[in-house]
Amino acid sequence: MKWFVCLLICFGCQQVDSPKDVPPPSTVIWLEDQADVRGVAFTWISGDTGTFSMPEIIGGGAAMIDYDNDGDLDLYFVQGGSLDVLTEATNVLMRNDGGTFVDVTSLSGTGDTGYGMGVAVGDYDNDGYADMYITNVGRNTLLHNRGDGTFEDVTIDAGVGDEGWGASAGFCDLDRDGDLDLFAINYLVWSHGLKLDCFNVKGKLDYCSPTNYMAPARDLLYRNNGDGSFTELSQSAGIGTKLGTGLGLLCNDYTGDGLIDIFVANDGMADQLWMNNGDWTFTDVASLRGCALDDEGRAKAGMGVTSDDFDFDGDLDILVCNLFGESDSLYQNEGDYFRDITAQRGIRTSTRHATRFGLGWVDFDNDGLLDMYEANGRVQQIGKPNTHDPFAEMNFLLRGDESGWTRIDGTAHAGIHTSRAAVFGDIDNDGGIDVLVINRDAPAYLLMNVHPNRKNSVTLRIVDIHGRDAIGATVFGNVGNRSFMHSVQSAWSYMAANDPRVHFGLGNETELTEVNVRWATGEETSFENLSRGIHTLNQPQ
Amino acid sequence: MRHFSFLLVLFFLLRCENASIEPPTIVVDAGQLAPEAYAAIQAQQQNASRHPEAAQSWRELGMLYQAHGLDEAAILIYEYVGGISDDSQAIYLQATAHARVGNYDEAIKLASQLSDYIPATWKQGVWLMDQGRLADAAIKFQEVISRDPSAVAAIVGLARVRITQNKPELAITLLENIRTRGGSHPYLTFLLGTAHQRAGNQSIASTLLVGTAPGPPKWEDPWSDQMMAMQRGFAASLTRATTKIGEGDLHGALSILLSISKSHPRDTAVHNNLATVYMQLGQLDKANEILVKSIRRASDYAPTHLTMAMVLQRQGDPARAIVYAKRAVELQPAMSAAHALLGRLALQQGDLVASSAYFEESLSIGNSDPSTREVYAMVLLDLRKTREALTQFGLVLQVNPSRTISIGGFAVATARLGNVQGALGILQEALKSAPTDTNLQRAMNTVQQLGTTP
Repeated sequence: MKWFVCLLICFGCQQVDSPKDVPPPSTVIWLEDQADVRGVAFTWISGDTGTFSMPEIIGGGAAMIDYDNDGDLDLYFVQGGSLDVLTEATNVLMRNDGGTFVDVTSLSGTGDTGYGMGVAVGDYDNDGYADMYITNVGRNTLLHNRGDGTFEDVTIDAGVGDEGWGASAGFCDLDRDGDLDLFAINYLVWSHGLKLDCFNVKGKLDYCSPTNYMAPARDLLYRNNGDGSFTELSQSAGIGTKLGTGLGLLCNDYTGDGLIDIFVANDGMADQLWMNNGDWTFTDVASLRGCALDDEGRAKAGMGVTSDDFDFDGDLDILVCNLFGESDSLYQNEGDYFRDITAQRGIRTSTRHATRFGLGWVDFDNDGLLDMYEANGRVQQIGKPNTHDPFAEMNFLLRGDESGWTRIDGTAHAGIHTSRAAVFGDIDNDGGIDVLVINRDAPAYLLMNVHPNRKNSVTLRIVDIHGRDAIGATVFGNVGNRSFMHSVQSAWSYMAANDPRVHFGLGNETELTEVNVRWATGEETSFENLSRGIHTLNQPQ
Repeated sequence: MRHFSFLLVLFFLLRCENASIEPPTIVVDAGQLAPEAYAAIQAQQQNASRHPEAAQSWRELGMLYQAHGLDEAAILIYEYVGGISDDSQAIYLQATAHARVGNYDEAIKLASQLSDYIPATWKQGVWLMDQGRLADAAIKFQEVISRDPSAVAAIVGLARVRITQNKPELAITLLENIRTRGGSHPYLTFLLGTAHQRAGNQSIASTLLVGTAPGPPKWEDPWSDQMMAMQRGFAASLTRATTKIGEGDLHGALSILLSISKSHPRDTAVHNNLATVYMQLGQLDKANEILVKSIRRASDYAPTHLTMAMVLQRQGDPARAIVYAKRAVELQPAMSAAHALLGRLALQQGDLVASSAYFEESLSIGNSDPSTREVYAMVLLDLRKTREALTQFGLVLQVNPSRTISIGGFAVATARLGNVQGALGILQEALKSAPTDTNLQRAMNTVQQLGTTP
C-alpha cells in the first residue's frame, strides 16, 4: 500500500462526523457477514500500480448461479489481476455444499484469466444448464455448461469474443423465439497504453472520469442463432448509432408491449432505454419517456441499476445509483413515461454522499415492501478518508415503508471497504434474500439474512418449456388484498448475475394467491395458490 | 509525487480575547493536495493565525478548504467565523458545505438567516425540493420572485415544483413566460417538454424532448464563484481555461493558458489548448507555430496532431492536414474525431471513396455526432449508394427524428429508389412543422425534379 496517503482532518475536541456515516441506530441486525464461516474467501485484485489505470477502480462482478442444478446457489467470482503482467489470478467458482462453499474452479474449467469486470448467467442453448458470459477488459468469454460440472470456452465458435472494455451483460429473449439473446455493454474505448493525466478536486493525480477520455463505446447486441452461435447486430439494430459509457443493464418490458426492452445506465451520459421495435431494431426512447436524465435535466454517473414494481401498479419502475454528489434516480413508470420521484421517496438526500455501485431492491424483511442495499466506494481520493483505503465507503441498507426508504444501521461486517458488485439471492434457501458483495483489494462479504423478525415469503423458480429459468417472464400474485408483480431477471445491480428466482414477501400472510405467469413468449398460465416456501412453476408443454 | 507524503501539522496556538472561542486546530496532509493548493492553505492559515479576530481572513481560509473539497474542515472554519463576526458570506458557504456533506437541515437553517443574498433563498428552495418538501420549496421560490420577478433560477425552481406536484399547466405558464422574454437554454426546453408530457400533450413533448439537455445553466451565485476561484493548482487552472474555451471566452482562456504555460512550459495539454484558442481566434500562424514546437517536444500526443490537422485545413493546406490527421489516427486509433476530419478532408479533395471509408470508420468506432453520419450519408448519395444512404439517414432519424437534413436526405434517397410519392409525403409532413426550413425545401425541389424526370 505504498500509495496509501491519508488525509487527516483532525478536529480535536470539535471532531465531527459527516452525517453520511451515521444512519439511525438499529438494534436489529438484518445482514451478517458469514464469508469466513461459509468458506468464501475471495478478493477482487485491482492490480493497482499507482498509475491510475482506470479499470482498476471499476471492477469487479460476480454471479449467483445454480450451475449443477442441485437447487442451491453457487457463487462465481470474476477476478481482476493485473493490467501490466500475466498473473495467476483467475476467476473462481465456488460450489454450495449445504451452505458452505468449496472452490471448484479447476474441476469446472471456469478459471478465466482475463482482467475481469462482470458476468451474465443464462442457459443460451436450452439444455437445462446455466451458462456464463464473462466481460473483461479485453476479450469476453462465453463458458458453456456441459452439465457434468464442467464448462468449456466456446467464445470463438459462438462469435461473442469482443475485445473492448466490457461491463454488465445480460441474457434475454429479445425476439420471443424461445432462446436467449445477449446484450453486452462496453464502457469505454480504452487501451492500456492510452496515457491521460487526471486530477481530483485537491489538484492531485487521480483516476479519470470516463468523460476525460471522450471515447464512449458501442454496446453489443447478439442474436442467438439457435445453433450455439450468435450474430452481432448492434449497428443495424440502431444501438450502435448511439454510443455510451454504460455500466448497468436491465432487460425487461418497460413499454407494456410485451417485448423486452433494454435499459443502459451510462456513466456521465444520458441513460438509454432501447425500446424493442420487434423487428431487431431498437429506438432510444429514454429522453422521450423521461428516464434519460434526472428531474433537473442532468445526466448522472449511472452505475448500478435495478427494476421492480415498487408501487404495485403492475409495471416495472427503475432505480439507478450514481456518483458522490448525485442522488439515486427513482423513475416511476407511469405507462407512457417515467416520473423522477427520488426526492418524494426520501432518497435524494440520504444516498448522495457516497459513490454507489452494486444495487438491490429486494424485500429483506419479507414485509411485502422493497428495501434497498447499496455497495459503495469512491472513484477518486476525495473528502475525508474513512479508513486506510482512501476509496472505502460505508455501504447502505435502507428500509422500505409505504412512504419511501430510510437508511438504517442493520449490517454486520468487519471494516469499511471499496465495494463494487452486490449480488442478491437466497443462498441458504431459508426465504431471506442474502447479499454477496465484491470489494476492491479486500475480502468479499457474504451477507446472510439473519433478520430475527423476518416474515413469511414465497420463492418461485419459473421454468420454461426448455427446462431453464424463464428469463423475461412476469409473475403476478396477490398477498392479502395487494397485487404484486415481479419479473424473472438475472441481469441487474452492477456487473452481476443475480438469483433468477422471484421472491414475494408475504408479511403475516401465509400464501400467495391468484398466481399467474406471463411467459416471455406472451402466453399466460395460472397456478394454484402457493403456501410459503420455495416452489417451482413449470411452463406447460 | 503521491509516494512522498509528509504530514505537516499546523498548530494554532492562539490567544483570543474571548476565551470561549478558540480557532480550530486542523491537520492537513500535504501529500494529498496539489503543491499550490497546500501552499495557499498554509499561507492563509499563517495569516489567519496572526489575526484571530479577522473574520475575512478566516473566511478565506474556509473558502480555500471548501474549494479543494475539504468540506468538513471548511465548516469548522466557517463556524469559527460565525463566532467572531456576522459574516454573511461565511454563513452562506457554510450552508452549501453542509448541503454537500448531506446535512440539509443545517444548510437550510443557516441559509434562512440570510435575506439579502438571493441565491441563499432559492438554494433553500432547491434543498427543500431535494428533501421532498415541495410546498416549502415553492414558498422559497415565490419569495425570490416577489423580490425579483426576473429571477430565472427561482422561476425555474417553481416550475420544477409544479411539475413534481403534477400541476404541469402552471409550470408551462411559468416556463413560457421565460421563453417570451428570450430564454432559449436547452434546459428550459427540457423542462417545458417534461411539463407538456405530464399535461398529456405528447406531440409537443416529443418535439421538445428530442435533444439532449445539458442540465441547468450556471445560475448566478457570486459568493460561490469567489470560493471556487480559490481552487489552486495546475489542474484547476487548466480546467478554468478549457471551461472558458467551451463558453466561448477565448481571451479569458488565453490569459490563463499563457500564465500556466510559463509554469508548465512542456505540458502538451496546455500547448494544445493554447493552439486551439489561437485557431479559434483566427491566429492560425501562431497556432501552427505552437503546435510545431509541441510536436517536436512530444511527438506521440495524438490530440496535438489532430489540432494541427484542423489548423492546416483552415490554412488551406488539406494535403498536409491529412498527414497530421493520419498520424493522430496512428497514435490513437480510437480517436473518431480524427477519422471524421479525414473524411471531411478527403471530401474537400473530391475523393468520395476515401471520404466514405473514413466516415464509416469514424462511425464504427464511436462517433455519435449525427452531423458526421449525415455527411457520410450524403457522400453515399453522391456515390449512388442510395440504399446505404437511406439506411444512414434512417439511423440518424431513429435517434433524432426532427433533423431536417436527414429527413430531406431520406426523402431524396426514397425518391431515387423509385418511390417519389412516398418521398413527397415525407417532405410534406415535415414541412408542416418547419415550413421555412431550407433543407426540406431543397429536398422538395430535388424530389419534384426526380418526379418529372422520365
